[in-house]
Amino acid sequence: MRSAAALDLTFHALADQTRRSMIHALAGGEARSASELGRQFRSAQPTISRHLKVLEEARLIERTVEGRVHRFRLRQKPLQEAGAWVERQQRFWNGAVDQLEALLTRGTP
Amino acid sequence: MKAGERAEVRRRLAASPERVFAAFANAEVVGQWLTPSPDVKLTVLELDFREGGRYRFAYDTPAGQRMLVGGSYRNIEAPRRLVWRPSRTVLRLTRSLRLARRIAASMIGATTFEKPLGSPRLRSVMRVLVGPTDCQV
Repeated sequence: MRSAAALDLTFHALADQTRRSMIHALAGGEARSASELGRQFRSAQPTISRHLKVLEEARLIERTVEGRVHRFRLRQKPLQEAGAWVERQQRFWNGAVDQLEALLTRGTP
Repeated sequence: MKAGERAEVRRRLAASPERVFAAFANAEVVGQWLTPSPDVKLTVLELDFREGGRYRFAYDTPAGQRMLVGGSYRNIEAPRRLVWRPSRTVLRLTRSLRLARRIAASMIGATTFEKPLGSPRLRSVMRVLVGPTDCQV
């Protein structure tokens, strides 16, 4: 199990539409270079680099360097852990709303 | 998980938005329902229902685990919208080493209530969203 601070980093990294799109772009599993990603998102390279750095610090992606080319690949595990957290929230709220419904039906409060 | 996925529950309830909203505002009432199943006992440790106020809940499972959940209320717009910010989730295992995890600092939750059209018996629609902080709540 990863530390809580690591999971915080994961959610921070995910709390941005561009970074989520970058994750989708890498979801096929192939490594992509920063310039390929920059062309796809039509963003300036420093912007792309900044987003990649956040994703890398959250360990959502990993970098390999071949000469001057930096390639990025998606790591599955942090996403799976974040997904498990969201699933637990889903189950929690489904159950809680069932109970709220029952309480309101009983006429209290 | 798809990136940015969020938990979402939408339910029609046979009570007015005012009544449903009130079920969030009072510690004694919250203690009667805000738990994933009747087997999991909720003890409301703190519930300061105002913007910036904190909540702390303890959940005890039949297996003897205790889970502490806390956070704060960000926006309270009775009876339409409630936004909260979970601050931490701590899981305590009584029979083994204690595990403490601080998660969800970048998550946000919201509940909205509205009056639906249609059946007069079902008088509000409640929607709960939990997701990354930039999701539309």
